[in-house]
Amino acid sequence: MGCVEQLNYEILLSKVRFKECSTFISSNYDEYYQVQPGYRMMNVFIIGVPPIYVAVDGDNIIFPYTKPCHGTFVLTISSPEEVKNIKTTGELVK
Amino acid sequence: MNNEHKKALLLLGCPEVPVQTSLAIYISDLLVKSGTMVTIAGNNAALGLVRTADPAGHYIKDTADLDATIGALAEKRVDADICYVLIHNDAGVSYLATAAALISGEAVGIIFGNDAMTLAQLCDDAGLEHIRARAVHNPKPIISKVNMEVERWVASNS
Repeated sequence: MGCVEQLNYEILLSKVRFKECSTFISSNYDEYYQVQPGYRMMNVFIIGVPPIYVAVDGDNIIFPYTKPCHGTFVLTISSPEEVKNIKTTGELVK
Repeated sequence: MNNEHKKALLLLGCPEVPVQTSLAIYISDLLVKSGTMVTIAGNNAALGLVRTADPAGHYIKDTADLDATIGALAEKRVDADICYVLIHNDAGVSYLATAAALISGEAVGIIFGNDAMTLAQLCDDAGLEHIRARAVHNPKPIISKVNMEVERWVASNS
């Protein structure tokens, strides 16, 4: 998965349509934010059809990750720094 | 037609649908002939197919890694007057929406493959421009639409 391979991620949802990822995030997390396409998280640029949701769960950040041949995944990574970033730069939805 | 100051970006999807490589070369040729600078971005496999099909570089002038291109667009290091996104799966719609949000010019989806109608509906729902045809192995169903689309863009920028 390119740059994301260098990160210690966990896959929560695999090879689905982007809309399913948005529904998964909005349905399963109490705190999530909306970001614009191209939002940078570590070395990853978020790709997707707005609204793009990124959730926070403690120190974990949950986000959609799209690859051309494999569809979209929902990944989670422990990153207090990215959690802090999304809280300041993302638009709180819930 | 003289589009020498214009920049075009072609974003390739997964190369599993046969017509993609031919479409990429065909669209690049149309744009280059109009004087447009063309960059084709894709993953290694997609770029390998277009480079192999045009070993002397008659039609393919510049290529770039897809992820790096998205990063460059997001950081405003790269821009395009027109971005054609080749789409045959759901991921392609995500790339089109992203390109539409990041470039200052137009972003248009070129939708082909067996799911063309469903993908076109997703684009409509998201307000994304596109052309479509159910072309899988034979590019003929979509070529006339590609011709009209590129002619439209070139004319609107002359």
